[in-house]
Amino acid sequence: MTRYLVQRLILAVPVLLGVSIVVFLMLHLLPGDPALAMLAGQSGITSEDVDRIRRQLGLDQPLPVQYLTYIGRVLHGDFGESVHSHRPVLEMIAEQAGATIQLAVAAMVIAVTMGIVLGTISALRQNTWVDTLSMLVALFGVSMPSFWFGLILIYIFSLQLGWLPVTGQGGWQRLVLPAIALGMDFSAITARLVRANLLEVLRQDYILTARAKGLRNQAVIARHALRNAMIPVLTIIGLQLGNLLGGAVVIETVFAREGIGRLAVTAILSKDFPLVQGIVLVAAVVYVSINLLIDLSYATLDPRIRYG
Amino acid sequence: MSMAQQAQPPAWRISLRTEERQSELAKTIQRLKKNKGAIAGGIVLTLLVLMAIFAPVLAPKDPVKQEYSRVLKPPSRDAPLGTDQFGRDVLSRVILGARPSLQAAALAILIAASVGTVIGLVTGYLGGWIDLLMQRLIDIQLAFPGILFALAIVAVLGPGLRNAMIAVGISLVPAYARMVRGSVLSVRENAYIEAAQVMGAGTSRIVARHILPNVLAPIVVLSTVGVAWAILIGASLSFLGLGAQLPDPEWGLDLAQARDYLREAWWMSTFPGLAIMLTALSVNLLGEGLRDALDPRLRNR
Repeated sequence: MTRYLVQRLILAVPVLLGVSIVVFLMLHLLPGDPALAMLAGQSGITSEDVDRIRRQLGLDQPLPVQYLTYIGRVLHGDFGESVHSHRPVLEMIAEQAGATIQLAVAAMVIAVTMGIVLGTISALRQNTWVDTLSMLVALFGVSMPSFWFGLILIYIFSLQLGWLPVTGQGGWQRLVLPAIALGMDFSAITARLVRANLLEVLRQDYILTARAKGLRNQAVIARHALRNAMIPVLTIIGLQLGNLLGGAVVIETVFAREGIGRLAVTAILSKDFPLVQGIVLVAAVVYVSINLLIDLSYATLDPRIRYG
Repeated sequence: MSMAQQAQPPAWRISLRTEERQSELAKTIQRLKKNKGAIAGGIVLTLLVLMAIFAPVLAPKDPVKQEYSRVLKPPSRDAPLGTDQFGRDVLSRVILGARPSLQAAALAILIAASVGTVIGLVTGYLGGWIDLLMQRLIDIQLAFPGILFALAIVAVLGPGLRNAMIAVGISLVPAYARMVRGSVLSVRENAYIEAAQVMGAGTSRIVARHILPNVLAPIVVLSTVGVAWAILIGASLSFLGLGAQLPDPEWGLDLAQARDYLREAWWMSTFPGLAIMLTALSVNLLGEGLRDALDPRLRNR
């Protein structure tokens, strides 16, 4: 297990280095002068302003030197400062991270619960109207834009019924609707995956054995079938977490919530590149780490992986 | 290359091969016809494409013309889907909004499928350092979660629907590259590839004539799923103000405006939203039907 862990950790290093190079190059792939691009739209720009930004970004140095300086600073937790607010980028990200994590975790809990329930019911009632209906719901789930679903939720539960507040921060009341909207397509994907896996597992010999030795149906499903059907679901959770982080960008805007996603959109629209770079880098590092953790837990569940 | 061209197979073999291919295609179409969902999806998608093509003729009003005498009017005979905050006709905007959405999705998938397929074919067939290098590059791209890579590209290129779609296209490249590479690796082991090699066929000929046709099915399936994804992401980026720009009619952009009038004008958000969902749903239904028809073993997966 230790060997597998070390192996996986070593493999993650070049990926993270590559990510940092891509993020670093973002600024240099900009058409035209990045310093000018950042100042675009502001009035009364002097050549001193341009020089200041250039120096601030180190644009007067050769590219490899710039990269080494950049990575050195990043490793020391210095992600530069926002062009507009002049505050450290990392501080701005840290401020917003809590809200996004809260939203993503809530969405994931809702999505996985709904997905497993829908998928299991569907598989156990294969080819009945229950199955057709829940798979139809899942199909609508993956075809519906999450921001529209969010607007529908606001319209029904906040504007018409008045049960929940429309937008903003704080309390579970303001978390429920955005979490449902964000988790919608994830729960649809989970439901379809659980159904497919469960149908596959139920055909296996060990299920027949379990039934033959007289186990009750519930015990067969819970202890033998569902447990084995869950392994691929675990992997997809890791992959989907990335989509949840991405989806938060849209959902936070719909519900006017604080968070990394909203910060990213504002940063892109206001051409605040140090901030964009910081957000992209942090998100990628978090995503890679989470997938690493999932890989490791996967190996704990299934011994074939760590020795394979 | 030249040797392979001289070594023409006898005429009866060519005819047998064409027949086999035709019957395989016929079988696929037969299976597709039995799938009600796929048929419905195909019909709806065709209608949507026709609507996009003939949009200027079909739209009853000018979609950008503002009429302050009929602001935020509910659906009526004059405006079947109501009007927006500037008195613009929602029906006309929904009809013309099909154009940017479908064009953009097609562009994104064209970029992703062509670049991704070439990378997948080359790395899968050749292997070696080029394969290792590409795999690492793909790993790096996959480290950016969800639409974040697309967002980063839009940040570099600047907002706009075309830039947004280039972004979506690039972010879908790894999916194609990985899948095609995987298929090539299994196809490469077949005896007929070895036979072609022994007969002296060049690499490009083997890849183009023997490998590509055998990995086309998964490419087609991935492309339909990809179109649905591209439509949703394109609409999302427009919704955020990073895609299509005002006053152009675009479903995602119209939904962003409708957000401010949710209480007063439900019709402003309902119809563009329905349009996006209907498009994505029809593509998904068709895609699933195609997948089952092309490879019945994958059914129920």
